[in-house]
Amino acid sequence: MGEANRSALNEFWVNLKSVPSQIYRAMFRGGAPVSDRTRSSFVFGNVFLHLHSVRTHLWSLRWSATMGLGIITTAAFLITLVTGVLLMFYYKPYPDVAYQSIKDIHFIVPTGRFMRNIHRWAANVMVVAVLLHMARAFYTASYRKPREFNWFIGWGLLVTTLALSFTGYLLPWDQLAYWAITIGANIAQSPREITDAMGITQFFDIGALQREVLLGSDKVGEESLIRFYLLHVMILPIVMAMLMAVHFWRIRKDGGLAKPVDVDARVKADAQEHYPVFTEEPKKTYQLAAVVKGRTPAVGSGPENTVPSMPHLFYAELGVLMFTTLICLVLAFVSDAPLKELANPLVPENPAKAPWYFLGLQEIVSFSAFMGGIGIPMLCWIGLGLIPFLDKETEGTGEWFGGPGGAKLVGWSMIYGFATSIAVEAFAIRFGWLREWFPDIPQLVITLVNPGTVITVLYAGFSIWALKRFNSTRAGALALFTCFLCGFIVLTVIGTYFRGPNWEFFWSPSDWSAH
Amino acid sequence: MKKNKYLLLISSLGVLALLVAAAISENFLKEWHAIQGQARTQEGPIDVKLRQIVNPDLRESGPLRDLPRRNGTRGTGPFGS
Ligand code: HEM
Repeated sequence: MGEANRSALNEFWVNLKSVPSQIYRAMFRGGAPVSDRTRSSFVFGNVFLHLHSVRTHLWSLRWSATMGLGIITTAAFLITLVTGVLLMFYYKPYPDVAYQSIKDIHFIVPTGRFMRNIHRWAANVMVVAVLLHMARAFYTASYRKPREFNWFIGWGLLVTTLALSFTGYLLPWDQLAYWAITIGANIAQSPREITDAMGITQFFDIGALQREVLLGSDKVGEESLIRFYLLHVMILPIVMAMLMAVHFWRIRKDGGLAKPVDVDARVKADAQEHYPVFTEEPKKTYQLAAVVKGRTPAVGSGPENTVPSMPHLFYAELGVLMFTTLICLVLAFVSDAPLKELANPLVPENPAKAPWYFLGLQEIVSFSAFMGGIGIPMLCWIGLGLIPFLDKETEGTGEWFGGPGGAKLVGWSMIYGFATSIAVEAFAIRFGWLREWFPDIPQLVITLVNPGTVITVLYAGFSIWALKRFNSTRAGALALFTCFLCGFIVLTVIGTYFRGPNWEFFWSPSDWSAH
Repeated sequence: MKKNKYLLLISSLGVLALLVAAAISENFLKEWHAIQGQARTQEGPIDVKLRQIVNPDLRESGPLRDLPRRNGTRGTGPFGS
């Protein structure tokens, strides 16, 4: 009896002492990730990690391959997720009260301002990173077969990112927010430019319908706020998370990232840097190497120049994650998120400006709400989505500026893209546009002919020239994408820095008060 | 991999440093600490706390300090007074 008791007690004591190591073993059943085999099971035994493939190609680990932009976007999203949940503890989605609660977060809640700043900055970092990431995927021609569908998913992620950012912009319920959403509502209503011209608004008022769906009412008020809040904290994050999961999974299913055809010759030197590649029983490998004598290309490098994702890929990802966190913290530390006065429907902000990434469009909206807010963005968006199905060439896949024309064509497209958009804008700013020359002109004419559509037509023409010149759809795509990127930059800079009250041109915001 | 390890190390140290800096500024350098210090009365500094939005009809709770404590005394707010 006593013996048995003692040994059970003993066992209990031994078990208790080994609890930490037992938990560790239960968690990582395959054992520590020290050999190729255990590293593999480490990856595919983990629900989050198994979105990655078990081995990663050396090419994909080069900084120049992705510039880490996809992971930067992911990291920024995770940061907004964490800080956003913290903000939800204090934020109250009701007009006026919302403003007070943001003020409390900013001035009273411990670390509230810091968290709000981080949230705001991470959101901006995410928008910038997603645009650059898309450009990276485009310029390396990574959208081609079998990756068309992943480009498609990315296309959805882009819209979701912008929508998340825009819905968040309203929540503080300050003047900035209120008038930005008012612009949004007017854009939603802008199909009236067309239906009015056709004289059918009375029967078919899709503009008003869109506006009401957006606002939940006929004016910007509590219905709109609760609607935007729900989208911002619930619906869009869920959509984003699901699209991201598919996006990552597809990378694995598509055979990793896109690579040039002669990739194996190119990564030879990289193998040294990632040595040792074989970790499974190295003794045998050496013996084998001795038997075959000499260095065949395969010696010292894994199958097809791949290395285990654990740890090679994960160090890269963690590094980028922390780097992004650092950037967001630095920005949050040196610059506070804006908070204007309480929203006041009677005192319009002048100029009322949308968030910065929509200011290029708002520049066109100042001529035609329909073209700037719906027509041109739709055209760009549909065009972007169709790229993989229109360019089915194979030359240059996986290479920066790969394909006919190459970097040189991109350089010329940049010059053309910047020059045209600056010239058209300068003309419109200096000489005015149709409305100033012919005050009675129907709006429909301006809807069709405005700086935005003129620039679009000029870009399309250049792209068709490039397509013919190189006899290549890829060359046409390179020219068009680059031009639109330049136009986006030019219009955004003008909308942000050079437009003041009544959307008039000013050389500097410091001249605004002279108005 | 070395490059990535350095990226991870340096970024992490940077984040740590900024978090410490934020903690210091949060606890010692916020402007309202000075204002609170100036508004000191005989009973100590004036409390700074969140205004609760209260519906008087529901006779909702007032500030935390008014809640009765187990021993029947009235407690102080979470940050003392
Ligand atoms: C929230 C937005 C997004 C996130 C978090 C994201 C994340 C990622 C990540 C982590 C990768 C792996 C390679 C890398 O890091 O660059 C990747 C690859 C890719 N992404 Fe995205 N992405 C987003 C949006 C987009 C958009 C807007 C597009 C294009 C319209 C896009 C198209 C692609 C393509 C085609 C690949 C495969 C690239 C290759 O094989 O080289 N993604 N994405």
